[in-house]
Amino acid sequence: MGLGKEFSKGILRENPLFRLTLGMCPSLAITTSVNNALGMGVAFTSVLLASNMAISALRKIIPESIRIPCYIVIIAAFVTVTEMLMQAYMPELFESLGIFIPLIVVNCIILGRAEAFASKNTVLPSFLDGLGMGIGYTLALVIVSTFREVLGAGTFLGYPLFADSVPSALIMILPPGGFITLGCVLAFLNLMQNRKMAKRNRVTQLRMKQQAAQQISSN
Amino acid sequence: MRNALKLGLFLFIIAGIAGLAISYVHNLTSPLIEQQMEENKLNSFQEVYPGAKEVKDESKQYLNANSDPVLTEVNVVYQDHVPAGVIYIVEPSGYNGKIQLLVGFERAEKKITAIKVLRQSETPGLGSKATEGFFRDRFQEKSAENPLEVVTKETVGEHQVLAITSATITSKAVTSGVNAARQHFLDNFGE
Amino acid sequence: MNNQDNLLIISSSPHLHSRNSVTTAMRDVLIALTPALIASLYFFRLAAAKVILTCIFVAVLSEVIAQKIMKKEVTVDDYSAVVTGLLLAFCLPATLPLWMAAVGAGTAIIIGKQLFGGLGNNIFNPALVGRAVLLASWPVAMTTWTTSLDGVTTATPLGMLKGGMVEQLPSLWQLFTGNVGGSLGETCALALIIGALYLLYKGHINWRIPFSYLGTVFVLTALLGAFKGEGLWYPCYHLLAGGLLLGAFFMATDWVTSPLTKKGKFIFGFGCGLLTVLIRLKGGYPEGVCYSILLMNMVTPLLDRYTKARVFGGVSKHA
Repeated sequence: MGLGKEFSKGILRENPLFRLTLGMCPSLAITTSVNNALGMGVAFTSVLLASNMAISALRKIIPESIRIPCYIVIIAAFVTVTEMLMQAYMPELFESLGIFIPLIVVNCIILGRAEAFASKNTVLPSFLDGLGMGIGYTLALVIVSTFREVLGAGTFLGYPLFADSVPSALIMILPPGGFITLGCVLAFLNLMQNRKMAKRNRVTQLRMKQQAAQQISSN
Repeated sequence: MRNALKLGLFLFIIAGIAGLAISYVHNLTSPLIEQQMEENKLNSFQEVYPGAKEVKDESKQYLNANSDPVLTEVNVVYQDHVPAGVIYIVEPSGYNGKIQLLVGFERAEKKITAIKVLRQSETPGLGSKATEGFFRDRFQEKSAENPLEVVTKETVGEHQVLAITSATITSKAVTSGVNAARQHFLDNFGE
Repeated sequence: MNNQDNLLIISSSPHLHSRNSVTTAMRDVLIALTPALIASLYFFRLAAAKVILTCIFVAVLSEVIAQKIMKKEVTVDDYSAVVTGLLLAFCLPATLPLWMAAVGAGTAIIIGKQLFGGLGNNIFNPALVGRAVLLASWPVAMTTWTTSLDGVTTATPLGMLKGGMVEQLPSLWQLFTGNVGGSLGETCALALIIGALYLLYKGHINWRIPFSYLGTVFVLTALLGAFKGEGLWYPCYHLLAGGLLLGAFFMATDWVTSPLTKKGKFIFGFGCGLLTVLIRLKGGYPEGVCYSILLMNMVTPLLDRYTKARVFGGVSKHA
């Protein structure tokens, strides 16, 4: 696979949230506003980048049998550093993301990329993989949170969109709204994929028929 | 056996490096974080007690095993070295867990100066309105002499507080916290 | 999806042949709801008519659109969307803005029914899904009640009970005839009972769920009432007030979302009753019929599985 593909696969084809359905818990919890989603996405991407690079650099030194504890220690260190930096320089965002920053440690996407990718590849592809996955995850969070914030709070990035006389649908920023939105987005993506597959199947079938017809006629 | 030692040592080194990195960042950021927290605290103190400059945490002196568990902090406001008012931090239970709020009292006129919700996890759009100005104003300048009472229609007496629409539980929780602080204030600073 | 036949749970034979189809059954449900419809039109006048028409119209429209988009056969002529719309309207307040009612009806049909695969595949009662979404979205509009006839804002009898406003409580007779504040179709107990008797007579609903549901509520509130020193009026009040009768007869008995087996039906009714009493007396809301039926809907497949009759002549596994 080319380097470009290592980067782009995380964005749609192997999107961590929409395609791999990893890291659901924090995704459902923090997507109540686009601001939170962006903050979480940036924090997540920086941790993923750092951990992917560190782990791929150390992949030959880390003994096979204790690799998981090593990964966890490395990831936890980066998360703690990120957490402290955020608390010092972005206190408001830190306040609203609350418990979900420390929970990045156990976010299965990060450990999953470490195990599935970074431990088997060199630093540059691991960096690109982390960047792609991070951007893909951030994008997914922003999509889900856009629906939720616009419908549930009547704002986008905090700016009011509607007149005060239209009360927004609170359910969308409550937990059920997260499940409903994520479910609908996943269903839509699956529908798109099915259609694409069906189309591709039809095309290949058509081609095979044509080839068979050609063979018959040439015989 | 040797293998186990080797692996342990490796993990130890990794953890050690990680620890060093963390402590370095901690040294870098902790003064900033502490300063911010101090500033935040003083800012919110000034919000519930305008003009508060010298505030001392005297919780140890005023809170003991017998005092109301809702009270978590007693901060005394000094003016010219005389205690002029008190700012309480109380944590009553709301609809969705604890609500942390500040309540300020003035000694001279025995009244509530203001309240401020610091932290809450009430239902967004309903109970969370307790943080908004309109609800805060309903406590402003109330006398500390009588217990406050939550009403859902319209306030008749001076000691009544109008509840937030459809969030009676939250309104009652906030008011019970204010009442607990009020009682403590009367008992200890009332003379 | 090839093994879908195995997923179907059918009660054991003997089966009766009947000329009933979904269409005739739904038509009978509509007939049974007519007394309550008349009562709500009488008590809430034009406001009721507007909300009811909006709900039915949007429910039917959403069904057509959803089925067209999903490239399925359009089945609005089986009246099931009409029933869903009407039942949803019955548990809304008369003052609800019409666009909110429309959102509720659309949600009920699209999210509550079509996204699960249409009639027969839905886990939850669609009308209650619509109501739950509305209640979570616009709690203020959904709990602004007016008295019937004069349209003055008031609390529901259950709200008064919860708020400790005992002296304002309407009498049992007012509750029975429906002259109280509340949702459109739930206030008149008399009309609901007439409709329920018709459905029972026609054999469309089974007595087990309503009986165990209402029985549980009665017994539990009687016990708790006695504990608080209240008389017999207390359990009677809980039976007649709120959406209990509407829920017990017309929603908990929904064929798709309630258990098939006899034992399952009893457990289902008992669970609904227990949850309703818990929410009413201990929860944050004054009324709990909607949520308790939705919660029990979720365990319906489990109830069906664990109370399935043993195959005749088969050997029980843990003998």
